[in-house]
Amino acid sequence: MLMLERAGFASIELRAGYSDAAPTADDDFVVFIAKKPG
Amino acid sequence: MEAEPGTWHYGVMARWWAEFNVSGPEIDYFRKFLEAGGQPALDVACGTGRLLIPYLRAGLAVDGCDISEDMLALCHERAQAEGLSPNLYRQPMHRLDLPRRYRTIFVCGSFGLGGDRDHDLEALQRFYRHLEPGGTLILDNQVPYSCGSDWGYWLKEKRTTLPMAWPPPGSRRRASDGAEYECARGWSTSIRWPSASRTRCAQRCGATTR
Repeated sequence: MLMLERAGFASIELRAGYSDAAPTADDDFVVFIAKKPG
Repeated sequence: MEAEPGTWHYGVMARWWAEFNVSGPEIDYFRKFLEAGGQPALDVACGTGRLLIPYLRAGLAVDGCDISEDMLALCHERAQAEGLSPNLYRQPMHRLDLPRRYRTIFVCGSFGLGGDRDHDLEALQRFYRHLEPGGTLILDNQVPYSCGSDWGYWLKEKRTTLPMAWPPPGSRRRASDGAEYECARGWSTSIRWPSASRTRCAQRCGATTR
C-alpha cells in the first residue's frame, strides 16, 4: 500500500485473490487495485 | 538498481511454461476489468501469453511486455498460430518505456520476482506514468505467510536440512511436439541472522525429445 501511494496511486483497494471479497488471513493471494487520479 | 532481476523463465523452462501453464482463475478475474472499459490494457510480464492470448482471442485490446525474450518468442508463436498479432515488448517492468498509454495495467504473478525493493518501486512509478488519468493498476501478490513450511527454516535445526536434494525424476509431462518435460524444484538457504535471511528456490527443467 505504501509503495503504491509513494508511486502516486490513490483509491487503493485490497481484495482476496481472484474474487471481489475482502481478504482474510486464509488467503494465499491478494489483489491490489489502484487508481491514477484523473 | 543496476543489476538485472534474476528470473528463470528462459530456454526449456520457458517451453515448459508455454506448454503447461495455460489456465487458472486469474484469466477470468483480470478479464472483467478490461471488459468494463479498461482498454487499451497492458499485460506486464505477459510470459507466453497465458492471459494475453485468450484476451486477444476475445477481441480485447491488450499489449504485452516481459523481461524474457524466450517467453515472448513463444507468446508470439502461439499468437501467430491463431492469426493474432499482439504488440509485444521485451522490457523488464522497472525499465518500462512504451509509446502508448493505457486504461489498465495488470501484473499477474510477477510483481517482485527476482528483483529488489528499488526495482519494485521504480516499476510502480513507471506503471503510473504509463496509465491514462483515471486508469487502473491491478496486481496480485502471494502473501509471505502462504508458504508456511518455509518459516521453519528460520530455526537452526531445520536449516541443517538444506540444501534440499533434488527430487528423483519421474513426473514427466508430454508436450504438443511429442517431447517429454519434467520440472523440479529444490530449496536452499543462506541466512545471516537476523535481517538478511534469504531462502532460495531453484527450479530446473529438462526435456526428452522423440
